[in-house]
Amino acid sequence: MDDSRIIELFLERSEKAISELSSKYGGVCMKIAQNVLNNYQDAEECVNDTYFGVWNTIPPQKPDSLLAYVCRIVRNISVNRYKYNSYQKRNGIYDVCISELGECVSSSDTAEELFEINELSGFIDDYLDTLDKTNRMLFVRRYWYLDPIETLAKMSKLSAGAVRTRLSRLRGMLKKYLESRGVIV
Amino acid sequence: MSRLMNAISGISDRHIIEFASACSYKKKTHSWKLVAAVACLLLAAIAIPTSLILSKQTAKNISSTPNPNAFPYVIVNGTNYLYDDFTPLTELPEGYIAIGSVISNDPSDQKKEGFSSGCKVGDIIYQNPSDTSEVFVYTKLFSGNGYWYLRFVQL
Repeated sequence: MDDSRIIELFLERSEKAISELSSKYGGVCMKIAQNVLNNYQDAEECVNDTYFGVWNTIPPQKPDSLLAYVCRIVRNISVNRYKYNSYQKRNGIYDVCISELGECVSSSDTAEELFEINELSGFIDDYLDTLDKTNRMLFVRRYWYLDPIETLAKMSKLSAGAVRTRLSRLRGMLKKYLESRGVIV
Repeated sequence: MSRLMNAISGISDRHIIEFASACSYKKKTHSWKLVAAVACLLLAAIAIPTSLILSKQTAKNISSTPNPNAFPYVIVNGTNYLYDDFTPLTELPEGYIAIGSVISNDPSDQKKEGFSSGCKVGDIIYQNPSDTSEVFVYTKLFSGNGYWYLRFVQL
């Protein structure tokens, strides 16, 4: 079913909206939640909470992209659930991704005073536009979708080692790019 | 460090959508491959002479004098490769490179380089230089409409 039709079902408060959303985007939601939480039951709960969240926000929201809208909600819910479950415990991908990105931007209060997170998002958008498709895919799938290295290797038809090397270079390039845009690192 | 992670969370929709299609938790179904495999079996059953089915000849015995009425095959570098795999591939495995193409379907050329029974003239042949026991051919054979990679193994 077309995204616009699914959004219409939400606007009409039709019960069919959730089933159609689940049918079309349930898989990607589950994948994102699993990547963050590494636990099927928690992931399933987050996906169900996502459907509830979409139901409660459409209307008044009418997103331009239903896919991106749903993905953001499930990611946020999953990350919050992860933080709730165990803030200190390393679960794997989410913590590893945070530590990988630590080399790009410092977490000092001085840096935070100089920069708003949404402006940083804009700079990251611009940085992604400078990359070729494969590198952009690796970055987005690793740090937004939180895919494991092995999955990225299959998707890109590269070895796991090559993926790690590329991600390391991409982080280095991001750091230089942010510096060029005035971000203190 | 969550600051940068939070910033990445806020990237634009277009970057999220661009790579969402490869993301799926559901196990892919292979029903179309199953249908194709059954169709290949039926076709092979019709093509093979009854004597070959009842005999206990091995693939090596068939390979010494390839029978154009048997399984499809292709001749590469003087070697006969017989159609083997019933699971066609949509993507070529790593390490395979194009080494040529099918030159002829003429039965009189059946022992010549580039001859193939089954694959069309012009179909590209791929091989892994480190494993010459098999080749893949990018062909419409058994597919109906679209192209896919079929595996042929050395006789």
